[in-house]
Amino acid sequence: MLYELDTLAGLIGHAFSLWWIMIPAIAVGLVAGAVPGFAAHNTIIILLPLTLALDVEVALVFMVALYCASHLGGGVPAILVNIPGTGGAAATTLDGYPMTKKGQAVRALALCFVASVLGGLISAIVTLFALPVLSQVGYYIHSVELVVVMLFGLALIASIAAKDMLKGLIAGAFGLMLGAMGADHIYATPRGTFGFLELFDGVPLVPALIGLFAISEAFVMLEQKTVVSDSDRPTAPPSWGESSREIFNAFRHWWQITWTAILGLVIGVLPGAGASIASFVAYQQSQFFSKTPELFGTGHPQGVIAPESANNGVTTGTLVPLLAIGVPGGSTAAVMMIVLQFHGVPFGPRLFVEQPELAYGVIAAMAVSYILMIPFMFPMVRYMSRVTVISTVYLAPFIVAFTLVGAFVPRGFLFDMSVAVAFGIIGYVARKTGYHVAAILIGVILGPLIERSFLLAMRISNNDPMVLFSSNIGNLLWVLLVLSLALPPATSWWRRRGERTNEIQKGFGDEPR
Amino acid sequence: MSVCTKMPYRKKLVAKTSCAAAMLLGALSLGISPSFAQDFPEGNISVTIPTGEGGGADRDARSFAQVWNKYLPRNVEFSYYPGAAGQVGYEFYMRGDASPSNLLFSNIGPEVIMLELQDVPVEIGEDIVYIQKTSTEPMAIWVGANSPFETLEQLIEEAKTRPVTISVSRLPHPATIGMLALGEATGAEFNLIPFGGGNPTAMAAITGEVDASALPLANPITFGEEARVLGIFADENPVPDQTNDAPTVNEVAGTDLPPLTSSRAWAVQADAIAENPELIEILKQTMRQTLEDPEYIEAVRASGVPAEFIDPGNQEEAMQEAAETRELAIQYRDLLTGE
Amino acid sequence: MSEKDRPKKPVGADLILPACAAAYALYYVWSVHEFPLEAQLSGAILAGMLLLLVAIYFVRVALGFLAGRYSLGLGDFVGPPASLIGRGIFFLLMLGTLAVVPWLGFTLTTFAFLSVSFLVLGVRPVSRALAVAGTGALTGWLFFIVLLDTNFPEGPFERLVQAVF
Repeated sequence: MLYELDTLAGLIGHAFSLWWIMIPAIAVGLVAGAVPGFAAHNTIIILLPLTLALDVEVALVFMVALYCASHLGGGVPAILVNIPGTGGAAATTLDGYPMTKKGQAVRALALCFVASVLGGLISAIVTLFALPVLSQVGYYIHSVELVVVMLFGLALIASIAAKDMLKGLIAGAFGLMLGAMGADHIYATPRGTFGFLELFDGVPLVPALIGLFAISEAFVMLEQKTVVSDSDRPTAPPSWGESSREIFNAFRHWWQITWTAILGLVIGVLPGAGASIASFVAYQQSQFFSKTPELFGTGHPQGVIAPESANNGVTTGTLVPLLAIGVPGGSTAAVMMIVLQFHGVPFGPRLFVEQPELAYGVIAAMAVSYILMIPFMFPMVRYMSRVTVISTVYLAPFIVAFTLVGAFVPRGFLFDMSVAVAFGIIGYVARKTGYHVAAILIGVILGPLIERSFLLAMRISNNDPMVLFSSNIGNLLWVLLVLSLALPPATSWWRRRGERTNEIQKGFGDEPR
Repeated sequence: MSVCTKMPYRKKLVAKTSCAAAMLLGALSLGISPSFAQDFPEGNISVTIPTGEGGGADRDARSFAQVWNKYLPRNVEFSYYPGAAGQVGYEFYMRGDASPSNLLFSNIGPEVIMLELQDVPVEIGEDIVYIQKTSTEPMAIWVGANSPFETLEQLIEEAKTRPVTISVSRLPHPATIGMLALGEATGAEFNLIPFGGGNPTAMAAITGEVDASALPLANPITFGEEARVLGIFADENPVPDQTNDAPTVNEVAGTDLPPLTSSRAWAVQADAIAENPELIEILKQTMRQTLEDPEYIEAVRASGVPAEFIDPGNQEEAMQEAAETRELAIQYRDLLTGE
Repeated sequence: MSEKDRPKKPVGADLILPACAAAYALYYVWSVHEFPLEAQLSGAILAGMLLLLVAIYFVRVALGFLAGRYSLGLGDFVGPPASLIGRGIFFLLMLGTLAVVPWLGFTLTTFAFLSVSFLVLGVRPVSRALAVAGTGALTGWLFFIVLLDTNFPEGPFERLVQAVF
């Protein structure tokens, strides 16, 4: 464990000296995160020839800064135009966009940035001190426990479908069905792919996200002049003072930011989990613990903080398995492993023995990159909110043009642009008829992950379904899941009953004697 | 002191030389005519990897390309097409041009088994030809450092009393065949769990989700002290010093299983050979030069893979291995397909 | 207002998504029926769940229809009629983009799509539509192709630039 504070200070100080590579990485990461299709993983692969040519330490710092910034950037279009830049920002649309529609874009952006920066910073600092403990998480959370963790995310469908539960469940089940497309995990037999080879590896997530959110939103937004209605449209850009005030006010939510960031960090450590699951679970749990759960989905600040803080908490978490065990926990970490291997740097426990400064230095660099993002927040909050006053006749074509090519980027298939259009049509139909597109996306993202973990758990137990209740941690998670699903309606019923009783008693009391 | 200056293993990057300089170096050191590589078409070489980025194939292909550039100075572009145990990658590769600049970097063992067992319209020899091996490694049974199993005997004995869980990368894989054959020969019951890729398969063994893992030997070696190799599906252990002198499976179990290996190899479309034999010859020759280059050997070592696994097997040897692997796949078809 | 006078809620468009979902579920089950049980398992469970939900929804709609609360109209499905033609052409332009991008490449396709879309959606004067589209396409080219070296579809513009520089 890294006990020596002077060593920590030295690492942080050294990381600051690499500001010259972090600043451009942050700039590229912010833009890449905001454009669906790029995100960190794809951008890092695209830039791999550059990073392989750099010194290993500089390359790693460049990659982690870009990675962290892309997680921040993903929330911006989610808030302003209802289009998440990455899957991890999908839950941000649930309250971020309603805030924008109410003319509170500046506030929503401030919450998003502060939650991202503070969340990422907290998780990096926690990781610096608790890396040995975090590296043990993977030893206790296996397929069985992962099924339950992912069910927490799936439970979000029930939360966001509260307005019409049946329609919400149909949307979620449709998403799960689409997510089950592709080769099965055991025998690699293609299922429900219409014979398209491009779908053998499952529904490509980025084109699905682009279609459901971006393309459908572009067509819906064309029905009005601007994203924000005339009455809520700001006449002038926010002043520096107003932007700064909103940023400082956002820090008041430090407690929610802290616990959702740590939740994201722990989920990030789990192999196979990631930013999407972390943000869905954090949103669902924030609603569960909120004093005003009924405000979620209507433009509630807590609904922006939870997913943004959690998906930035994930950033350091995904590196833990690579650094501590030597196995990458996610796709971005896998690309980083290539760079380490290319330079002959050992990873896993050997890294801590032979080059501890590099291992801890990477985490310190993440903390510093979040600190370096702070100056970016002020101009971004001030100027980015102006997107909402751009006429939709400009905005919609730009969204379609750039997100369609974004659908092409991850795999380089022109076919994926057609997938995006197909999902765009599904998204448009869903939006216009009261089916929640986020419910469909949750199904598409979580469906294959749950199926994989479920099938692995079943196969390990020789197809005994009781395996799902075979571990203490898993059983504890089951109890928490049931509680988080059952308690909100129960407390709501209890509250209503109490109110009715009060009214009756009040009514009796008001009667003339 | 800065982190940079403290790094004992920090490696200085070999400065990128210009194409002309690289060609000259190749020509001087290896006696090739500079015009030889120049005859190869200009433009990038496209490499299809039928698995995801960050896996063993990606690692090995990049190690190779880094040095190959000295002898064939062209940019190499990697494309990853994971899915359906490699089927997606092979079919997409075949959709591309039949050109010497369009290559596939393959893992012969699992991919030949996949081509045999799945409904893939690609025939080895008729459509695609493995022209040059780069490495060959045997399959291995191994456990995580915290596992209670110290020896293969213990694992086999346990598997006679209960099904022992073994993580494998996928069902169509030589390691899977090895475990099935071992189970058949000893009466042990191995429950094979396909985790879909080397990294998650290894993770399952290291974290104790499964009892043991069966993967190509380079995997446990790259995990160092996190892994303990129990047995190797080969006639002899090629890297005793890096596996704590692990025994062969046949030694321990008293079986007579054939060596189960898998080779990484470069492949081209058969039509490319028919149309441009002289250009394919340039590919082969520059590949062989790369394999003999000490810089390549060092790059392989740096990536954590033992240099002993480097195998400059030619087209004939690669195709022979493919044919033998195909026979194995036919033999174990029912168990591998769930039919 | 009495139940009889209350306007009927149009739910015709609401049936599109569950109908498509049910159709896909049935196709999925058909596509896996010869596969090993483990490959069928999750799909069959999901399809059963989805079909049950859709069946319940259809019953709900049928009951509402019989009770006179629902109609099979499309409601606001296609949005305001005034802009319908423009949006329809915009949709066709998007489909056209898919068709031409392999030949025109990223930059020219983006420029053509943006400029024609702006004009169709009512941006005037024409010079402004062309200028904004040109600026957008060139910015995209600079960031994505020049800076990030993204493997976007190439066309005459990208090839010309490569040849010149």
